[in-house]
Amino acid sequence: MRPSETGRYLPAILLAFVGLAAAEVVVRMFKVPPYVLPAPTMVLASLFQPNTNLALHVQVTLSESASGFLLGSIVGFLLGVLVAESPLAARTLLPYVIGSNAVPVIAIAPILVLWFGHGLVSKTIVSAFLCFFPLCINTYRGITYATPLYNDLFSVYGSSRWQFFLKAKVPAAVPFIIAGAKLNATYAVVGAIVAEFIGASAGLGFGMLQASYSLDVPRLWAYIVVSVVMGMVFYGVVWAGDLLYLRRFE
Amino acid sequence: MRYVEISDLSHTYSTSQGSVEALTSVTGSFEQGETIAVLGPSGCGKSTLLRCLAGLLRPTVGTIRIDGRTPAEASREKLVGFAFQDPTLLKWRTVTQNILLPAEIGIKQPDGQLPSAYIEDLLRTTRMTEFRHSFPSELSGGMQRRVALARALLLKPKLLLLDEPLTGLDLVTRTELMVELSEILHRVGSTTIVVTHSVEEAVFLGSRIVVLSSRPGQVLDVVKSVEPQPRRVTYLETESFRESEAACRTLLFSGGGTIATK
Repeated sequence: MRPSETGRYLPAILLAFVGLAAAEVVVRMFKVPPYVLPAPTMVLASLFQPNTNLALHVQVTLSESASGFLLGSIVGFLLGVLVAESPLAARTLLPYVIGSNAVPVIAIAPILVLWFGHGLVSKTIVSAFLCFFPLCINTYRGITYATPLYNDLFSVYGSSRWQFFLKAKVPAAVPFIIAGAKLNATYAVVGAIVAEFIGASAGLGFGMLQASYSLDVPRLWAYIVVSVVMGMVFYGVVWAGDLLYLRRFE
Repeated sequence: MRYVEISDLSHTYSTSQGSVEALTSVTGSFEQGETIAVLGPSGCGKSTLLRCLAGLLRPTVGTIRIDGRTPAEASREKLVGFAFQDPTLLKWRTVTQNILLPAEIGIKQPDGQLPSAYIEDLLRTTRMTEFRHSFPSELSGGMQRRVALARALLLKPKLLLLDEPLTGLDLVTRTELMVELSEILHRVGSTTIVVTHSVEEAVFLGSRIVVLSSRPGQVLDVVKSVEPQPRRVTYLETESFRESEAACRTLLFSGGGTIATK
């Protein structure tokens, strides 16, 4: 990371420290009970309690959200290409694609868990369900954006449809696809955790439920913080790809 | 030898507001190696004429023959090079990669890869050698146009189409590029059709200037410019240049158009 990039995010990092310090002071000063709001140091300590079982839960949620991210993004990309390239497919499928985004994931998750069981598959599918829409719409937008810009240039030199697709449409759509992937980086984690709420034997969502049943609020907050960090790490990976690819020429 | 023949060409666009006739009854022929400037006010169908020549539009009426072929056949055989009004460079490709694009698409040339010495020569001709690894966002407007010109020249087109090649540039860059363009076109030897709404550019670049009326564009007359090619910047100050300019301007005003002189 370039120093200027680190500098850009310094205010956000400082804000986190100030917020945590303020929470710590408020909780201690007003003796706020931990089940209402635990002090940040208490949340930090609970991360390392043996019953938190952090490594296992992180590993499970990580694999579910990573596979959901990949599956949702690939399906979204392919569907985006299909609706961008075929007006008939656009007319037929786009209303359903848009409708799918209005389906409450909390309502569809129990059905998917019922169909696909309590294992990795159902969590991956719920996570992918949240991820496919941004990639599909952004791919569609990217490809349809490139078509009028470069159509004449490629036509003059007798380009085939496939050459036009590979050499103009896909590269021109990359910034749109990366923007969709950035959204998915956080959606994937949310999807996996929501599915774990419905039925799981491990994972951060499962841990959150366990902690709330036993009123272990510091541990609940610890899982929330870890899930946020996981989403941000996913986002960071996509962002790094964005930096490496797009900043070369933009 | 006649290389391009246009017979009774008309084109009408269908729009939501009804039909718009862009060109009407355009007839003309261009010799091999000749540089023709097509001059006319904005919206008179100049770009439509180029798009018909490139096979991007099928004329509503009339025919075009390029070395005996239809425009679509000529495009398929890569006889045509086109530099668009907007440089339309692919922003994720470097200068060299952008220039090489026509060789990568369509039917591949039977003699395979272009010799690297030729690419070097093209970069040198368009003064882009130093920027060969740059991306379009790192180039000025004039440089982007030179890259678009180099790309249009890559496959040594028999017919080169230039749509407003100097529009949007400042006066100094425009004059410099106009002189360079004259040298390059003379050196390449392609039959070239330059479309412009600037009287100065048309007279400077064209051996003949086809003056179109305002919409629907039709040929008002053809003005000859006898100065030998390539032209030097001093040509702009000559009596012959001023005479040709005045003749074009008179025709344009008689055709009801508003024109750009710079």
